[in-house]
Amino acid sequence: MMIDIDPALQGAMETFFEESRDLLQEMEQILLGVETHGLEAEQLNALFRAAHTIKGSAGLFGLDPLVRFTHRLENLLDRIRAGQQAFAAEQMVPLLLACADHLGAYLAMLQGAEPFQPDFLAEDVRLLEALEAVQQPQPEGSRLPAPVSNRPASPVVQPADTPAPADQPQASQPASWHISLRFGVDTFRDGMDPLSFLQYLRQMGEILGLVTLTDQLPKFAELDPESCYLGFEIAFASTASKAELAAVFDFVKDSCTLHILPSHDRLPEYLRMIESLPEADHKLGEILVAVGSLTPEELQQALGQQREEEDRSGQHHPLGEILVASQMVQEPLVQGALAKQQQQRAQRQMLRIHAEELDQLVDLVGELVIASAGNRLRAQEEERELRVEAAVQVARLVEEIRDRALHLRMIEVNEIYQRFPRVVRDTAKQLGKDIRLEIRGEQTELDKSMAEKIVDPLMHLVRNAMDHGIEPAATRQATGKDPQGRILLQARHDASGILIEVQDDGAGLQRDKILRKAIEKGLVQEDQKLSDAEVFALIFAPGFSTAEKISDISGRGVGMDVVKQNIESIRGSIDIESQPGQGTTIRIRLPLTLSIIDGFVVRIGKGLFVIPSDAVEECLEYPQVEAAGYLQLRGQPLPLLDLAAMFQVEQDAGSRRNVIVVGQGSERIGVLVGAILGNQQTVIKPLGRLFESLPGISAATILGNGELAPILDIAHLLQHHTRPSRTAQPTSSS
Amino acid sequence: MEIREERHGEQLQLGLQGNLDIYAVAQLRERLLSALASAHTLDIDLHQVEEIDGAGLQLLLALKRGASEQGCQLSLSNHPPAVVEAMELCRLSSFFGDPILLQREQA
Repeated sequence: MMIDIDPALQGAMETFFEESRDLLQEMEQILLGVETHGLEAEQLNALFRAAHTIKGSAGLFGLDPLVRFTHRLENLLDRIRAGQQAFAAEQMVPLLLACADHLGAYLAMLQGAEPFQPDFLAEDVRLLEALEAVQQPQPEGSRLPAPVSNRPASPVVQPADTPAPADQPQASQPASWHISLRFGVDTFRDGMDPLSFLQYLRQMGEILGLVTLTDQLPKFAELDPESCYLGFEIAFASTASKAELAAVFDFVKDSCTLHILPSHDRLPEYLRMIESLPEADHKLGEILVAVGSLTPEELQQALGQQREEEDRSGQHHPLGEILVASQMVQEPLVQGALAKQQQQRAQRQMLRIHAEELDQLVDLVGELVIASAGNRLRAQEEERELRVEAAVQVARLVEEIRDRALHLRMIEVNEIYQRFPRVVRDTAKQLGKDIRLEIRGEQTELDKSMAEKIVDPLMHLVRNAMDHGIEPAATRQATGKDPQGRILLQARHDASGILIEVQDDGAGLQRDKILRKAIEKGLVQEDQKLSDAEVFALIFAPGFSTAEKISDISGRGVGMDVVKQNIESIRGSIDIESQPGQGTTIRIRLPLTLSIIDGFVVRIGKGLFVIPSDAVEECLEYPQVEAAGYLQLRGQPLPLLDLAAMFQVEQDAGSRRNVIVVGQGSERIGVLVGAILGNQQTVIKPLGRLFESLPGISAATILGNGELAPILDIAHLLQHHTRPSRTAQPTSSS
Repeated sequence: MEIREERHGEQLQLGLQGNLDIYAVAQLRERLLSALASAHTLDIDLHQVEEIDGAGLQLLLALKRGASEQGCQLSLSNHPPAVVEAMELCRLSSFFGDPILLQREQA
């Protein structure tokens, strides 16, 4: 659909799309939770708010079809919320999920300014009809909520438009109040009778207890009988709100002192209400008014008092202090509201930033790191102590800025995990299997750009585990397993990076079957001796698929190799562990960040190279006597790789050579280099297209002295050189 | 409000008739003040009180306190429904401590 939008609105609209997607995500999560945990009032409110917000914003942008659709959805949710509509999970959840999906489709089309397709419109009609169909006709009379109180016609003025909280707790059950009342001295002369207020109050609820206060009453000889000295403390039970109770005393509100407080046993209830208020920019007083523990008049009065104090003494008293001091609300409620406000402030301070701008910042910080290293090097060369000191300090600050800047790009892995419950649910239904998803370590942080790249591979792995890993329920039961299969997604920080695991409790990989297939496809020789890990790794080989039956769910033999490529493209690695009958665990290791690494700078020939420090295990002096290609390290053969030969750089004849042992997972290799120059922070610069396919090099960096140094691709070196005899293609080094 | 007085030496009985309200309290207080000064025992017969309001009730409260301060024994008697109702509303029956007899038309 084409929409004409003022370019000035375009930015706001982008935000709308983004926020709406977040809301849909939230809806989806709640709905998926319903199938296991049921639906709580709070979640129902969240669903309603989500629909309501999308509708409202869509209205602002004139996205009428979207408004129309969302309106119907909102109506249904509102009816459920008001108790006018039963919520049958097995009927409602699929419908509401379909509506959420449909809204997502709306957003996509509106954002892409695409025309609505016929099948989309058909779905639109189908859903609107379904929304209509679930609405139950209500028997006459039950449609209106029961009257809150049986208030008689009276001269008492209704409270002025009090914000009626939608989730006033137990609106139909009487709540207990403590009313503290002191009549003004002129009450009688003004033609008012305290007794008639009490009589009226009694019609709004039950007076549980009452004490007439006579402490102000003068001695009989000094009594002015036309002045009023009476006061009452009243324990009162009523379904009326605080504002409604306050309205009883409207005629004397200017002369009497009135405090209406929820009785102490109700404080937790109010605190819960404060807690569950929708997120909006509320002020303290507004929060208390919204939950009904403060009346709007009281708020005005307290604000007036605050201004007065300020004018008079120049002192600013916090509103909460005034409210408590003048007994309008109890202290714990003020504390609760303040906590809520803090929470709202914290949320308000979130900024949406273009990822691009953040990337530019991180790039610049990278440059700064290099420049700072150069600066420090210069200072050291000049041997001027003060300059060195200053340079070291700058370097330390720059490092801190780097850490902070990198942290800005971090998101919780939860943000990508969010999509999985839905996928698992839908896929399980499609496969006819009963599978539950467990997620752990949702709070683990990783680089946003990395997170985006890991979603598809993870999705593929999860689908694969569900399709091929987890057996049908009958098979599971026959082998004594829980008929419900389990997929565990977990993430945590590892020594040098992030570890993400996809674990299933299915049948496990069948070593023999994989090996047979690999031999069939010519990936390995028949007489080759391979470890379990090596055999399992074969499923990542291009064109390998063991599935006897090709299904829609997981790929057609393209897939696992693509998964591996994707993960390696972000400098990650993947390995598999599997126990027959017990299940399979796939581990993905990712670097903490994509743009800066700790590097080990070495000389190879005349050039400098960087080895990522997290791969370095130890450094040895090269014993010249070894047989070519191998080194005995603590009784184990270690494959050796001569980098000078591999990169065809000229070797300095006389110089001493060193072996750096690098490893990842269980694989290790020794690389033969010249001088070792030490550790340095290096900013990764992608190689131009020309050098992209250079084997053994993943990127380049600029060192502090301005020299360019390639960064070794350890994963590649390990893969191609640990077992030179296995690799089909000969490499330049062997 | 009409006030009927019956004196037996130190014993004084005042019979109130009409509305015990804001319009009556000033005059009634003057009367009660002098009664307190001249009697050891004071009985207020409420039988003919038609209406009572907050000011009337307040006056009775103050009188009760004033009497006990002066060592005068005060009793209220023959409460009509309106007075019982007001005292119950303010939970004051036990404060006055007088026996409240249900009158025939109420029973």
